[in-house]
Amino acid sequence: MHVERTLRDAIESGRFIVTGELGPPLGASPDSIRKKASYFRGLVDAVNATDNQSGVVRMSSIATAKVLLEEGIDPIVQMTCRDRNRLALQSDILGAAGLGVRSLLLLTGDHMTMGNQPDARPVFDLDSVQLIEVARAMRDGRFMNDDEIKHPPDVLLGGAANPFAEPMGLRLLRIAKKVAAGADFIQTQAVYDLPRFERWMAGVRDLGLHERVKIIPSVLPARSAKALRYMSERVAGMLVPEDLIRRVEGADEPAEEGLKIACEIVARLREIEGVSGVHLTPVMWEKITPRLIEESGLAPS
Amino acid sequence: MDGGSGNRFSAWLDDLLTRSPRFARFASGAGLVIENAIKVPLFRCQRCGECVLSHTAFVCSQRCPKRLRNGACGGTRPGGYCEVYPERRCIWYLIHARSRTLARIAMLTEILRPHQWSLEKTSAWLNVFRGREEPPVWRVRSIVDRLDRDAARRALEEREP
Repeated sequence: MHVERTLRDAIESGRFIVTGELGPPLGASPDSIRKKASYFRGLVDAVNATDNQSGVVRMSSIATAKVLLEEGIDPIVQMTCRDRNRLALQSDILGAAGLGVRSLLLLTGDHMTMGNQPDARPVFDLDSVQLIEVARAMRDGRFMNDDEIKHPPDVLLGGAANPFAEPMGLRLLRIAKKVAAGADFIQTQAVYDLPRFERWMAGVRDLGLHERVKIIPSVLPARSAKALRYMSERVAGMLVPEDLIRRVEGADEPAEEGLKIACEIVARLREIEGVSGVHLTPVMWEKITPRLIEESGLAPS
Repeated sequence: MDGGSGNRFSAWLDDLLTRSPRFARFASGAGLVIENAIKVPLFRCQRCGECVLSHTAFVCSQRCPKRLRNGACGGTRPGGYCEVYPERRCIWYLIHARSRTLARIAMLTEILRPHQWSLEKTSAWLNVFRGREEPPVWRVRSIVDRLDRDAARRALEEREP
């Protein structure tokens, strides 16, 4: 199937970027990927394929990305430093690019103690800042040891940012380093605390980073108060304000309320100077994506 | 260190130690007796062999469970506590706080190169003297220099959550 919309197009055209996210299957069958692809096709610019997210083993993100390409979707391959050393990371970058992947999201990775196989050996040979630098050097034609790469990988480089951890200065240092290392776009943790996100964006603008990278905050529609609470407690780096949880809890139809909240957040984000798009990550609820895009006004005209 | 007696000495030392790996191991071990005696109690040194203490306000960044050399991961908990060890503060939280106190925030804007794991558990001091420890900053890429200095400095020193 032909890939119609791509992240690169979106960035170059200057339009408001919309990306989605897909959790790879917990088994060897790619059927669920093909099924979920229909929620995104034609509606988003690209879809992230996560990499053993939260330390839970799933199909590899590169394999998932290959299936997404076959289904006509531009994948963003997520790559963490948790499970692979520098040899495997450089090799995977070549492999992903060779299969047609054109965007990478380079992350440190949630520690394995957060997952369901906590005794795995932590690798963390590189950190995400170094990995972005390595990927950029590879794109320019050099391996880490300065050997020449005959066919350099042509990929957009993304980093993650968490505007909600403290202190603010340290979070700004972190994103500034990723931009300096060569990131083209930055996706953030799910936004629920808008005032805090606005403060972080003010710092990002002070550093001039919004002009050098595309800032793409995440929006996570929750289908129940239980889901919100689970994420707030178990997912690294995520914080949900109590009044939002209570709002979903008290609603007649919690899923509808969750969707409504997500649309409100998207509307607020679009007004913030320096925000270049949104990243929609309905965890375990990918099928709400078309409705979310429609109801928050993100549908392609 | 530019060319001169410093470089000649480290070239000589490195040559000597490379020609005799047994002596190199002995020298590293002997050096470590003193190095560890000082750095472990004072800094909880993790014996990485490639010391960047001076870049991180003399707080050992390798105490981080993810061995991060360029700042905190996205998993820090409210209050600045570690994702992996929630009972203690994120080490980069401490590094940022002390860098502010010591006015060394600018040093945190440099990108530190990947750790040379082949130096793990060897004497960092010996590695410096024999020229094995390349400059810890990887193609110096300071970010504050490229931006408006005042606004950038203020943003990076922000202690409020």
